[in-house]
Amino acid sequence: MKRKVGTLLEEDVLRKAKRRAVDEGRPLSDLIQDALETYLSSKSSDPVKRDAAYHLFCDRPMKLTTAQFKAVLEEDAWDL
Amino acid sequence: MGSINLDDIPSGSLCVIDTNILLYAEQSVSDQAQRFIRRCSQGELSGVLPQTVWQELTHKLMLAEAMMKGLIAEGKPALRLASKPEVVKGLSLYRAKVNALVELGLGFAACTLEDLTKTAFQMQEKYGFLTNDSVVLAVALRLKADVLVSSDKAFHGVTEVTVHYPTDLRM
Repeated sequence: MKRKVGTLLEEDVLRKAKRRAVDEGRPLSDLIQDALETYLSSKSSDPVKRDAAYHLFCDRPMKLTTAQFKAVLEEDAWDL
Repeated sequence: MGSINLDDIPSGSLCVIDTNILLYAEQSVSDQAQRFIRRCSQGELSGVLPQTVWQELTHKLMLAEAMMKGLIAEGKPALRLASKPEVVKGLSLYRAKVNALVELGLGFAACTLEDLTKTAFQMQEKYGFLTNDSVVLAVALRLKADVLVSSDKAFHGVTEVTVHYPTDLRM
C-alpha cells in the first residue's frame, strides 16, 4: 500500500530525479522508490561486517567434486 | 560494446551480477570473481542482483549443500531434494551464504511488470534469449547499469550494456 510522505530534497537532486523520470517515462515517485529500495537492500555499511561476510561467502567454499559443481551449474531451477 | 574481464570494471560502476559469477566466487574457481565480490564489499563497485538471480543462486546453493553433505545423489538433484523436505529443513549453510551477500553490500532489484512483459520480450525477440537471461538483461537496462557481469556466452553479443566475464576459470 502506498502512502503520501512529505520530505525535503536538495533542488539539484530533485531536478535530476525529475529529468530521469521524464526520460524513463515513469512517475517521479516510482523512481524515488526504486532508488530507496536499492539503497535499503544494501543492509550493512559496517566494513568489519562486510569483510566477515566476504570471507564467509568466498573463503569457505562448499566442498564439491568437479562433477557435483558442474551439476549445480547446469541445474535448471524450472526443470522439475 | 566489448566484453572484457572482471578486473577491468571501472571503479564506481553499477554492476548487475549473474548467478554464475557468484557460484565461481563461492567455489574459488575464479580469482577475478572473488576480487570482483571483494570490490563490491569495499564499496568500490555497486553490485545488484535481480530477483531471478537471488532465486537461482539460493536454489543452487541449497542443492550444493545437500550434495556436499551426501544427502542427495547427483542425478536430478532438485527432484531428489524436493521429495525430502526434512533434508531441506536441516540445511543452513546456503542461507548463511545468501545472507552474507546481503551483509557484504550487494543490492536486490525486484522485477517490474515492464521488465517481464516489455523489455524481456524485446530481448527475447532480438537475441533469442530464454526467459531468465532476458529478465536479467531487462533489469540491467532499467537500472541503467554500467556493466553486466556474467560468464554466460549468450550475453556476449549484447550491445545495450558492456558485458564483463571472468577469463580465469579453473575447472
